Amino acid sequence: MDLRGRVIPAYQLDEPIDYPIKRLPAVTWRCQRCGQLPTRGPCTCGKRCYYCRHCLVFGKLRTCDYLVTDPRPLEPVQADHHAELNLTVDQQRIARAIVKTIDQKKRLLVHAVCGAGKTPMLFPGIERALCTQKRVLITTPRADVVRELTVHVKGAFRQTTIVSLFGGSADRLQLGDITISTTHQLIHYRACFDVVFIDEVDAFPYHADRTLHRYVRQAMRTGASLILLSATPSLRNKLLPTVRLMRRYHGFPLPVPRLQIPYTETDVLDWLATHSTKPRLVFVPKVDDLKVWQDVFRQHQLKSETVHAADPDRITKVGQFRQTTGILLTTTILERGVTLVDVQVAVLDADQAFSVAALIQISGRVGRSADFPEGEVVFFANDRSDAMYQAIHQIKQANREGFR
Amino acid sequence: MKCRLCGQAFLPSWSLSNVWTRQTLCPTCKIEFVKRGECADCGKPGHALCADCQQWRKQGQTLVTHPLFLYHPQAKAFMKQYKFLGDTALLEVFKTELKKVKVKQDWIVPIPLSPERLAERRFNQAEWIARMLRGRVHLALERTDGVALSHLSRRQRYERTNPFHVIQPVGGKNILLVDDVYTTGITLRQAASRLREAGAKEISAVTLFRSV
Repeated sequence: MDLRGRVIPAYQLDEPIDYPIKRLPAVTWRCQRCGQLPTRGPCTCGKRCYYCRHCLVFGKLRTCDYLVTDPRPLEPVQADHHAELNLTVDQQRIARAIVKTIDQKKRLLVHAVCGAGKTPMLFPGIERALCTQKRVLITTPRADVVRELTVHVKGAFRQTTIVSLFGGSADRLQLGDITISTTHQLIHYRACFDVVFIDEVDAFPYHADRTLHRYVRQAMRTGASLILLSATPSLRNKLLPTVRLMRRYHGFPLPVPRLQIPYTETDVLDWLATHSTKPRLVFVPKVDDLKVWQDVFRQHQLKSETVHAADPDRITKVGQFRQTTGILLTTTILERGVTLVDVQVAVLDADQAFSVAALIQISGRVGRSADFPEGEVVFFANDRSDAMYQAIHQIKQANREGFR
Repeated sequence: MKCRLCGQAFLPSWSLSNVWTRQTLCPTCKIEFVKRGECADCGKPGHALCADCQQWRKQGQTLVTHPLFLYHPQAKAFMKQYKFLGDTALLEVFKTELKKVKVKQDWIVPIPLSPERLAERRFNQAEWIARMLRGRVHLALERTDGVALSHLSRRQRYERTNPFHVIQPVGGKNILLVDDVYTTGITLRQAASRLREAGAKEISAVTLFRSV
């Protein structure tokens, strides 16, 4: 196993190794893999060792364990060029800014609206990085986004090795010239990437989890450039040098959500009836509400599917939904990273539990394809929340800025 | 406070009766652990003495086992975290329940793991449950097979030969066996029969869960 730039617990080495490995302590006052404070518990070594509860799923690490790594330098990066791209003028502006950031080894926040075509804008930057011997990492908190990005990037770069990492992927512990990974999987990587893109920086759980920030920081080399991508960046991220793209790639404005306050079941059913020929996404605030609304729809002879985070066949359900004109009830799990053609969106109880960023992302699901650039977003609510009005305000502002 | 099992933050309910107990489980997780049932010998819910235990009694293999909880989904989640991921500090959530078990026996003997299994798992789950009890723990048993019980059917379990042997002098001692989950009772009875052959006086058992 090639361990350059990676660390694993010593007991996970399954094959004999013919080079001198470097042994590192596993748990000192902090876990040396994830950086959390360890817990004390019984241990077979006869003492009560400290071990890390936080990264237990990656294999237990105890004070009496060791981490191993290969200290030799990494192999050089293969240069590669991307396939033909047709970027709009705005996209080219952002792509130039990204290339400049990579050359100058700096940091950048790309604030681009939902459906601006963020992925193709990265390709000139990735090409520049590969041609100047830099290893590229594209990381995001969501495994669904990783799968989608892998398809895009594999289509554009044919020569390089592209590795896709998420929980249960076949490429575990591999290192490619381009690595696409969930932030969690970066726990095994140390100082091996020169260019790091973080897609959806404000997504759950990355935005609040400091340990995930640590994983990314540990995986970066000193002097690596960091490019953050988001449609709804937090105030903290806005402190970085920022480029803004407020116009979608097909040139149509973002759909502005309509408010329906107060609402009843009949309002929702009427809305579903008006769009009966199109796929409809219905967002609810809590997992328990899925069942309630599914029963309501069933009483009116409407078939619907439900999707939530703990659902084992989430991917197949969304895949099936792509082909049909049905109703999909979901929680905020589908707020980002899904592209559905000609979808209409309703948010039920939009005043509860939805943040501004979530509402903007949800509204961004509509009208993403060039063939169907328009659609309807409705916020159904019985009360008024700041988040709803903020979201509508920000969407309108983005449209104003994009069409100045 | 953070729940040890689900990681969710919760507000502990303080009252005069529990100021000195450490609350490690959130109320939603705690409610999921169901106390043992009616069966006098194995704690299975339903009858005062379940069909299996009647059978055992007929064969003269009575073993009074006291399980603390039933092996419901939440208990399975606990065992996954504790046994297979090796989260040994998680056992603290059952500290009060385990301390309440009245141990009158001379020795507490945990069910051992085979050396290969111990090397793989790196700790004996039954031993650490035993060490939470009030009493003296003796590792008086040894195990030689390496077959994982969870992959065997009930019939295969019956047919299996006894993997245990006694390595400490247990003559004349009253013994409390400790295991993590009671499923068919074979393992505990095999261990008990070996201890009886070696001269142990009275044998009973405590397990954390009773599978249903």
